[in-house]
Amino acid sequence: MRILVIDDDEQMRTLLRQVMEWAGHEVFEAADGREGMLRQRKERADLVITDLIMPEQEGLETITSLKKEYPHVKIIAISGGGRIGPDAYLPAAQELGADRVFSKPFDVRELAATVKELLTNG
Amino acid sequence: MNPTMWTILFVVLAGYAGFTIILYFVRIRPLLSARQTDKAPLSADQCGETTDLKSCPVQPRNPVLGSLLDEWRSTFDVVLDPILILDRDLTIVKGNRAAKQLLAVNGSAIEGKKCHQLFAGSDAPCRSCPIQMVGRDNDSYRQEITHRYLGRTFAISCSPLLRDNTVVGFVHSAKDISHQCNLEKRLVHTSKLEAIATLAGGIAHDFNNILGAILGNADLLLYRLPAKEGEKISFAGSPITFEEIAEHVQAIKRAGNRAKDLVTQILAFSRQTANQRKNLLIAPVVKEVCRLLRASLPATIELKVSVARDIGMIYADPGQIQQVLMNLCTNAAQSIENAIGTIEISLREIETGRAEQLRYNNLIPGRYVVLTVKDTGRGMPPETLERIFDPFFTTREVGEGSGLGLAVIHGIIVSHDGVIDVKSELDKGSVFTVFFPRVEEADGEEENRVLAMPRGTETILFVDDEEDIVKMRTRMLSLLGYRLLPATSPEQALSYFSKGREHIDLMITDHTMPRMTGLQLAAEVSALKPELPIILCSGYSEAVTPEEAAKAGIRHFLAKPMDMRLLAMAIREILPNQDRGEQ
Repeated sequence: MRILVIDDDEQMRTLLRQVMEWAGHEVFEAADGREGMLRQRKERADLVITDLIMPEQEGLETITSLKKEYPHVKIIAISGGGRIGPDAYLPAAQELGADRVFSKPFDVRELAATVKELLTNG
Repeated sequence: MNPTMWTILFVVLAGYAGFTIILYFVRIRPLLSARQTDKAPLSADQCGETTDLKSCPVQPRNPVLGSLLDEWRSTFDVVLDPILILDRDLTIVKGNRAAKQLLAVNGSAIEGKKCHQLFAGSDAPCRSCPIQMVGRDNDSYRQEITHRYLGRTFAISCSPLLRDNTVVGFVHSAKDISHQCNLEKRLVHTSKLEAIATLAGGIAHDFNNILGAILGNADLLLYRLPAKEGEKISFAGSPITFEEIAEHVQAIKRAGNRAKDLVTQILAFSRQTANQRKNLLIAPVVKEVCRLLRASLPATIELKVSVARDIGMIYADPGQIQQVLMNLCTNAAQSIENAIGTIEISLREIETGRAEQLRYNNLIPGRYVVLTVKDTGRGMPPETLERIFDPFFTTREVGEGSGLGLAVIHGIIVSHDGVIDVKSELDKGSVFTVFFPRVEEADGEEENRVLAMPRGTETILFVDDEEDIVKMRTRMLSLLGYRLLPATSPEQALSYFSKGREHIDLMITDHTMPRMTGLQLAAEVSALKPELPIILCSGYSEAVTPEEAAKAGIRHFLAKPMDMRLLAMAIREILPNQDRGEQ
């Protein structure tokens, strides 16, 4: 299956690509939400894994755009946390349409299993 | 303390001292002179003839005169700050009680002694003698000095005593402001901690990314590697190749180095040290703070960053520059209603002239690096704008912040020979503009050249109480050709010397170990083998001073975690005359 990975942290992006490739998927990468949307329009991935705190276009905005343009695409949101205050990003991501959420650091096997489950069961 | 407070302090002090001096010279001295001329002239040994200001021990017979003199003396003595009257040669003519308490050694008289003898223990006037500054233009002079011997800080004022437009002496008063200075240092530190708290979210975000990379790569390795040779892996996927193993290990190392850099950065910022200024490229510092701020500020606040190309150097303390930017951005964020708005940060270089001099608080024409923080917050009315740099002035609710930020920022910018300007409009937002003078010369920073790792064949004693580190380092150094003697305790290390069988060329030791520190071990080893070079490794560079290290025979200090290349190069620096090769 085709997976789009959106994260501004290059190391994290590489890791996500390796995990997905290891699980047998074809992977595309983007460094922020804006680039991610452009990539999705071109590659039409089946599942998008997106970070939430990024420059240019944030993850929450990206999830909203994805759901609007590609309602059937599966979305996994991941976040390293941050920001002081009442903001709760992962629940917000779920409310906006993310199918699953993960906090960094996460178990790569669990992520691979979740991707498999989402792509198999719809 | 802000300039207004200093002015008030000096005016009060100078007024008090001035009153006593005027009383003496206007009312008492002429009466004494008249008495000397008309009635009973004083002998030379009583009043002196070499200077008008020499101490006069006489008790006037005139009761009015006596009463005035007593009044002057008691007023002079009752002032809590030390006051000295000096003649033109800096000889102390009179000192009040506080001056005697501060300067008299074993109760001996201070009159007749040179002020620099008592203040600095020197036969020559001090290099930056404030009295000499007075002498040049006959104006009063004020200065803040930290006294080397007394270990205290004084706000001093010096005024010339004039007679017929001729300087006949000086009045020197000193107010001990050590307590205020310490408070000021604490103030700066408190403000710094507030800024760190602001960045906590960004730092946590970065750490989680780093941890994600380390744990993720380690997990991938573990899942993909068979537990035993020849065993089939249970999880689906292609068998792992050597290249892939190396790639994962490199990724773990890179993430470890990122964590190390982040820790160094946090420590550098939070450390309570004196101003550590150097020629600094400010652009990377600003970009880094912006990166952390992006993850720390609410998502609804848009952060726009614009850093011009080829920004020059400024002479600055990087930690304080971070502090200025973080405090300005924190204030900007807090001024934005419902956290929906924009903060624009820009860095550019400009040449200023007469127009900027008039516009920006007498900015001296020249080349400046300009940092601007603009927000779309609620803005400030003119009456608030006038007071924003006052300590503890805040428009926030109780519990929302100390109000120290802008006062501290102002202090930092002024100490960097910079200028801060603020423009604000109610309900529209504020713009803070900071000018730092650009400097031309680089600090001679070494180029970050990638060198081949130097090798050697000498015998190295490696000491660390953590067995894993000893194993890893001995393996690494063996690969470079060295012969290694491992030791997991200071006692084991010392045993190599007591046996006397081993020839050792270099000792590398950890600092923090149970029972005996690396420094103590180095001192003992130096006593046995004074010529043996020693490298000390520690996680905290503050733990050992350069003096202590030199005394213990330590030639080199390396901060942990150590980079293998730096260690290899340090070894060759210390053992330069041996055969060497390149890997």
